[in-house]
Amino acid sequence: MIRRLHLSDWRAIAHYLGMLVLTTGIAMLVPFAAGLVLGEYKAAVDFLFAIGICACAGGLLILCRVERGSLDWCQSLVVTGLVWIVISAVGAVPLFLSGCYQGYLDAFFDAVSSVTTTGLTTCADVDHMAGCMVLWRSMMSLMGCVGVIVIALALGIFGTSAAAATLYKAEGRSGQVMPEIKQTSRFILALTGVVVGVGTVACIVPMLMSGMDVPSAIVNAFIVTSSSFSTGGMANHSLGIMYYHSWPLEVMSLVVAAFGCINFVLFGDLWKGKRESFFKDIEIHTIAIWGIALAALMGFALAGNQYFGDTLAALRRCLYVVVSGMFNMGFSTMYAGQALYALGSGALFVVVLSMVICGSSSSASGGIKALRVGLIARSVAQTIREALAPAKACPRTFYYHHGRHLLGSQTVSSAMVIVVLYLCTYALGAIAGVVGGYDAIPAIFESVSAASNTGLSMGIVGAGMPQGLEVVYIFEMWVGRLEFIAFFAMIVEFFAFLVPRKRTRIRRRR
Amino acid sequence: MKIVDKAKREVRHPVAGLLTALVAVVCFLVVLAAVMALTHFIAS
Repeated sequence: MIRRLHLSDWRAIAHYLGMLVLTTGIAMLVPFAAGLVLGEYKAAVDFLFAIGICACAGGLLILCRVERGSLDWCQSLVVTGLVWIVISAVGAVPLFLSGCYQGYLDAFFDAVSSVTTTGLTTCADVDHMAGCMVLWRSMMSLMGCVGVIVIALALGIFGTSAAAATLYKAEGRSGQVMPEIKQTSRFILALTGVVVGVGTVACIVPMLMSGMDVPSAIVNAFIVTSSSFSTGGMANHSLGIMYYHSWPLEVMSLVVAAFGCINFVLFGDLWKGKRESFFKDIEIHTIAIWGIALAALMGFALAGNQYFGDTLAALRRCLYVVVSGMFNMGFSTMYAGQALYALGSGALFVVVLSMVICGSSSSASGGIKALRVGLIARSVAQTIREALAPAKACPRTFYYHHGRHLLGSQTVSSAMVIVVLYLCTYALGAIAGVVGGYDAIPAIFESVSAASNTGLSMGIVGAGMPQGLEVVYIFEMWVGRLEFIAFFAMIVEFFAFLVPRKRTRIRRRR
Repeated sequence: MKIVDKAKREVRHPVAGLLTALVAVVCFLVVLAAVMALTHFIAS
């Protein structure tokens, strides 16, 4: 039975959304200040205008309900579903005003791509974008990576009420490092700060060695590190990581991206000294096996490839692309259209496969997630064991994920449902690409990249792409990040609210 | 570096934890490179 949301429920949802819009406005103060420091006054004025919009819209939404109250599960799902779009809508305002985009839809696409940590861009000329705008895109990626709601929880915006716990779970986070949600959120925020900080310092060295001046090295190192950890892949150069021509930087970006696609709770286990918990986890096992399988496949697929000339160069570039896809990062060591004729269909298929699954649950990465694939693989093993076991025997399969658990049919079926929904979304985007007039291989590649929030591109996404296809990719990035449940819950609740309730007639007996 | 949470009697290792993850990730990347090079060598 569906619980219908009443007007009072929507007012509560609007209240919480308003608080998140206000938080976004406060976050815009950072690029605004950066604009003033860098002397980019026009861009700073754009941010000031966007902050004003956030203040007005957020204030009005908050006034929908004066008392904060607590959220139930349905309301939390709707807040989680809407927050990504609402924040992207206000986050796109300074991008649109910058004049780097052909229209608001293009700016909105980039904002959704940043917030969902995808990394696809419709900006025609990233190289000449204002520094504070580039910083804002990186900040949106970091906000999306940590989770907008997790940031709000860490800052204490939602307090420590029951609403905090329901919002945390509704955002797809599972497991806690600390007993309280607020403490766990602060741990995730601190972890992000430490990894990005240490990564930035480490990345400065190869940049200085390549002849970059100190301020530029710091800014570039921060953008590369934050884009790698958030698995967003939003760069400040149109060439992305290729701009730097530095293999140490490529290695560092992969290491930082690997940190981004590991479950945040597993870092908590390491922090507590529980190493065995980290190495026994089903997600770590699945990522390791999947990575080795992909590397082996790519090695076979590249046999006979003459494009790169040097074998070592071919292996370096192709390994980077596969691992970038697997870690959901989106940086590439090939030009957008180059992969189509340089790799060949076999290697391209391996890259598409690498983007399908991606990293862990409760991490920065998107895609089907290693946990679900691991559970399904275990259920296959369970089925084989049941078939081979004697009639009276009842074999049981366990898996390790934040403790040892018995594999149940309910767990496997829910994992299967999400996998099927992801595959349908990949297919939907590919069909839309083909209808838009593109070849099947680039259409499939781009669709998987958008829905898995990876960001590798074969050149379909860009300035001047068909607007219908742009909307389809926005939808894919959104539902891919939400992992479907919050999206479907929101749609059902919305239509249940619109459809008038049937009146039941009570006949009185005379 | 160790941090002891006296309230819960838990010993925490923030630096060692991150270093463990770093070593694991680097080893994983080296293994991937080795596997890819090996299969490429076998196939060609």
